[in-house]
Amino acid sequence: MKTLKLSELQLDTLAEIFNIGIGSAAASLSEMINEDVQLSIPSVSCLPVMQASSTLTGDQSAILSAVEQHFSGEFEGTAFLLFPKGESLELVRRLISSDLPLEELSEFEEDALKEVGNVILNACFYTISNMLDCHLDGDIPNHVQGSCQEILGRGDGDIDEKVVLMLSMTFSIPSGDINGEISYMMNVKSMQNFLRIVDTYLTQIIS
Amino acid sequence: MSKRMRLLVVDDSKMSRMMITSIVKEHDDNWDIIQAASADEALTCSLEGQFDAVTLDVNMPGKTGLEIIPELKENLPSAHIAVISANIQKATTTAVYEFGLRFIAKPITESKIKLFLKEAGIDCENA
Repeated sequence: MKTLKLSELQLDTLAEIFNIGIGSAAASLSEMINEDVQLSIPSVSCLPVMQASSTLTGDQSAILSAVEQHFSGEFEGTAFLLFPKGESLELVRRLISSDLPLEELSEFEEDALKEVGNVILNACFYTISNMLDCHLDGDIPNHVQGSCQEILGRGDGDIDEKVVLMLSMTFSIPSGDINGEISYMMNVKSMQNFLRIVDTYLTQIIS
Repeated sequence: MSKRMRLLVVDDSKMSRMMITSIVKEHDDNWDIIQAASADEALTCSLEGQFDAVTLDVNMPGKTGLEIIPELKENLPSAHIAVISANIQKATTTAVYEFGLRFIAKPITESKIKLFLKEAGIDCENA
């Protein structure tokens, strides 16, 4: 199982970059639902996939609703926006301003969450690319459901060769009690490329 | 010899504090810069001496930047305060403007910081 140790300054820098990306995304989301979106303090950790999975959900069998988006460029991987299943439907309700019962909202869930994922994940890609001066292409977002382990375990490649850059930052909508999390899964080589770019950026700031 | 200027940089991100410090120092070495990593630290600094300018983050562990603005203004009546945040939602910017302060959207850039100092009339040419 692969692990990577990030320095305190690398973790701080990544947290701040994602903070800016999600701050921008939250402003868009706030306009979409016409409500203030509260943001938590971001924290970043880099964990093997299995460990990330158990950290994200204490209950291994809990079903999550997620948007995944593959990205490529100077480093590549998959970004995930994760919601507990019931909360994702509440977000859909907010988006379409409907009083429909949760069961009937399911048919809108895929489209609505892909749109939210598109806004939030792309804002993060844009911020990473803009601040670190690197090129990233995002694919079309895809909606997936399952346990955290099932969601993170999807895709090509050996799961033991991958690490998860886990961004613990919840954005919540007070009236709906909705909380989302973002994670980036990359293989170790990609993660090392990403960290090299972060280090170059830090050197520029300090000099 | 011109009077030395004092800037209080309040942000829980070390990277952001480093960036602002580096930009201001490069712009004009006449600034003494004090860093605070939380709202409580900022209030402590504000009781220990006067500042010409303050850059204040919003989302921080413990109290938010917005929560301490009234006390900060009371402790530092002549300081020019800019709220610098990634939280660019209307609710945040409106709250900042209602306090009569400047709002600067992150990411931090050299031009944004220089403009703040210039508009406040406290950049090197005006000090």
